[in-house]
Amino acid sequence: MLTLVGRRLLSSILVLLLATGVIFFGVTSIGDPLATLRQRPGVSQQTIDSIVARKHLDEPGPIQYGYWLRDVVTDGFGTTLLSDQPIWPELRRALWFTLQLVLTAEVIALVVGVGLGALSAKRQYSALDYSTAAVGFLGYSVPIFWFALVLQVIFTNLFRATGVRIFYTAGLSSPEAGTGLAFLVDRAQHLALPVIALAYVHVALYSRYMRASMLEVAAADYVRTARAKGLRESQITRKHEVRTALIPVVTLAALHVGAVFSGAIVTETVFSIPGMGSFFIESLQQRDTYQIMAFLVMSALFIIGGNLMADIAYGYLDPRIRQPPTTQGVGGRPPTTQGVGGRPPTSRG
Amino acid sequence: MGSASHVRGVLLVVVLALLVAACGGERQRSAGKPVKGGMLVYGIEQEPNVLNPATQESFSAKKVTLTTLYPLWRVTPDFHYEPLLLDGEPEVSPPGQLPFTVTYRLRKEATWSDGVPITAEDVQFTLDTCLNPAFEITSRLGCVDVERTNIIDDKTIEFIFTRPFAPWRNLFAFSSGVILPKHALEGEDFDKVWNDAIINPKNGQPIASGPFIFKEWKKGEQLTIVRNQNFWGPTPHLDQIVFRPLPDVNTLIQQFRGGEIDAMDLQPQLGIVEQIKGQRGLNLQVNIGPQWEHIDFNLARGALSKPFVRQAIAMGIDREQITRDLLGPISPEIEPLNNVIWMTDQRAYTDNWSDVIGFDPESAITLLQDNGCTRGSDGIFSCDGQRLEFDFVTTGGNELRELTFEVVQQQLRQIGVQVNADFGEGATVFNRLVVKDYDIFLFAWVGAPDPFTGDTIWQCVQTTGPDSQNYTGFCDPKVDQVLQQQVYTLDPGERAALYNEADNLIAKSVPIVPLYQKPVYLAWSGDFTGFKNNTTQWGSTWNVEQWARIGR
Repeated sequence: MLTLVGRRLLSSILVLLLATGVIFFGVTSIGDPLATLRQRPGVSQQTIDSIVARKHLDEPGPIQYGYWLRDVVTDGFGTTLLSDQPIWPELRRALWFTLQLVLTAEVIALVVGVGLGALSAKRQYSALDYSTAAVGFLGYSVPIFWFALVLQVIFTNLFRATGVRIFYTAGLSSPEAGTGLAFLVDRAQHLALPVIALAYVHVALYSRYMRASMLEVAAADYVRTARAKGLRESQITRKHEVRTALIPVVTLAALHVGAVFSGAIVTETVFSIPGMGSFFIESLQQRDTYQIMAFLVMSALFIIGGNLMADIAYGYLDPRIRQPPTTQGVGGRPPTTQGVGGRPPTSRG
Repeated sequence: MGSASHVRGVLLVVVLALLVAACGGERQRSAGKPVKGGMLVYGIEQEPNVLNPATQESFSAKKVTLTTLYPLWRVTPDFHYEPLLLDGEPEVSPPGQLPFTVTYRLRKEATWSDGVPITAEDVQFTLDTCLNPAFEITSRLGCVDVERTNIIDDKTIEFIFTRPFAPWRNLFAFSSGVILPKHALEGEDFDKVWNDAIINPKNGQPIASGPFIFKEWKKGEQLTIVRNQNFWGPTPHLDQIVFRPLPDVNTLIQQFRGGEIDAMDLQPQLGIVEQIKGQRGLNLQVNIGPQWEHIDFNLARGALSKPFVRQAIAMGIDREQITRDLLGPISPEIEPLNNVIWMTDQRAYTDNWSDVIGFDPESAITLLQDNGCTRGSDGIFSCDGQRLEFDFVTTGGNELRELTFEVVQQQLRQIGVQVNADFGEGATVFNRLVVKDYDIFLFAWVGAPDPFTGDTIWQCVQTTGPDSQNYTGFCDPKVDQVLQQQVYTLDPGERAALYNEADNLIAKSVPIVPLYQKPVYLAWSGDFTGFKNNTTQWGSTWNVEQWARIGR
């Protein structure tokens, strides 16, 4: 296991380094980073010259890349292009807000999605199964932007009609949110709608995956054996079916979290959550190439990290991965007589 | 079953808790007179990058800065320069007398929030900071025209200019010209000192010269200012104002409708007005804004280098129809703009363009034919072998601009000119203006109370170079001469006439097609009063001390 992690870590660092090169040369090739500043009437040449010198914009591309990489590693991504502000404090703040939103949404989505998927599989072709499928497909096809707006309009109209505020439509806190429990309730009221919007789509995804995985596992011989041995259905479901069926779902979730951590851009923009997504949008609006690059590097880091987590999670959940390699097969799995899925051989009498 | 009832119980508790919390948010409908106290939440579309008004020029930063720091003047909605820190109008040297001097007298009662008087030394310090090459000041316009100063007493300072300088009122009239506290900022790195908070770095305490003072900035969430208890002027009504950044316009509107924000101003979008107009408890004011939409021609590109081609294209565009159909639902009173220097709501505005580019498709076709252009089988003209087909560049995703293109394309087709969509993302497409990689470009300039800042758009010397503003490549030595002359012309009436003369000359060349000024909205809750929009660079917070909650 440690060897696996070590190898993956090393390759991840190389991939990240390559990604920084692609990001830097990709972003800087868009055009003059000071184009917008030059358009402003009255902006002095002194100011422009000062920025050019500070950011080494008059140097060749590879030299600029070197300076930038140095700042990434030693100075928290350096400073913004136009106002020379440190980037890392802003990025860290955005990351913390995204964490609150994304983790909450992912946990809810996983719990609800896994639960719904398992239930649907257990009651295949029932009304619950069909309605979960319908909600799932709807969730998958509805654009988050539209769904978020609908939620805002619903709760705004509810407030205007009744004077009762259940959830807030944007932001993280009220201007005077208080402290302690009052603050937490206020924060929950603010995060409720963006969490619902984000989780809804992911619930759809996870429930479908879980259902398919459960159906595959339920047909396995060892499950039939367990049932034949007289185990209670709830025990079979909990210890044998769900745990095995979770493997692909958890792997998917680990990959997903890595990607979503770069910011649920649409959700954060609509609900004005000052997270990674908003950070990225503001960087684009301000045409600050250094902020844009900082965001892209962080995104690459999370995606690579998510992949690594997925590999580790898979290795942990599937003990066959952890066994020492044999002379057969890729991944060191013991030889089986079955195809995809690596089900253990059955013993037949 | 036990677990199911447990789940139901938990859900019931959660719902009850939320309902209890919800009842605390109920809006109270008020009626009556303005009262002292209370908080107002103001929605802004973009959060400031930094708060230092001299190193950044974002509109949202200005809104905040001008509530806490004052320049010498305030520009009112009717473009009047109202003395703010000044004790009456400055003394200006008689016409013809050199050197040109302006003597500023500060109000005796004007003090900083820490009690230190605002003095001539602060004005001197502000000028020195503006001129300091070590600082990344975004605009040094006006500062560089001051030859020297003379401090007469604590409250009086004389500015001696290098030459008669007509736009002298612009110096220290906007957010970039707020007077700086010498006792707080001397010796500090001005590029960094007011980025995150407007404070005295020597003691860490907020500092202000205006009716409000900085309290805190939770980046991404809100920026709070509170009443300046030591304000030398009329005491503001409100206790505090919270600025909330809400980048998504739809969210801004829902927050306003739902009472989560009490006021906002925003750029026009189709469909916004209906969501606010007529809603119970909400007020809306629509004004003609300073941003004016127009079409630039690249005078170096093929057939566009010919003035008659540009004039024909302009005559083929029905600006009345564009204004009526696209903006009529938003703002019925908007008319096409017929001056590229003065705005329609300025006294000096004169229609110099409709005689040259008034909509007349038949005359446009005749003009092309009279100059030897021939129409092809597809209906598109060619002049000297150059087909009248052009790329039309603008920012994609902007509904108004995309609709404008569609209308213009259809209108120009009638006169035998083909334009093709070439939309780009805002972050990158404006670079094409700078490097002059376009045929026709639709975008907006921002007008100003004094048009001096826009001179660089028309000057021959500004057609090239990294800081060029002359994107069309227009060059008329006569226009240059008139623009130079207005700088020295101190009489406002004569100066306005000179600018109109320049505008007339520019119109004859048709380097651009002015379209319209964009409207701006100011919306506020019926629980408050005192709001009046200001379309100058002062913006909607210009009279923040008059904002008040209405009592029951």
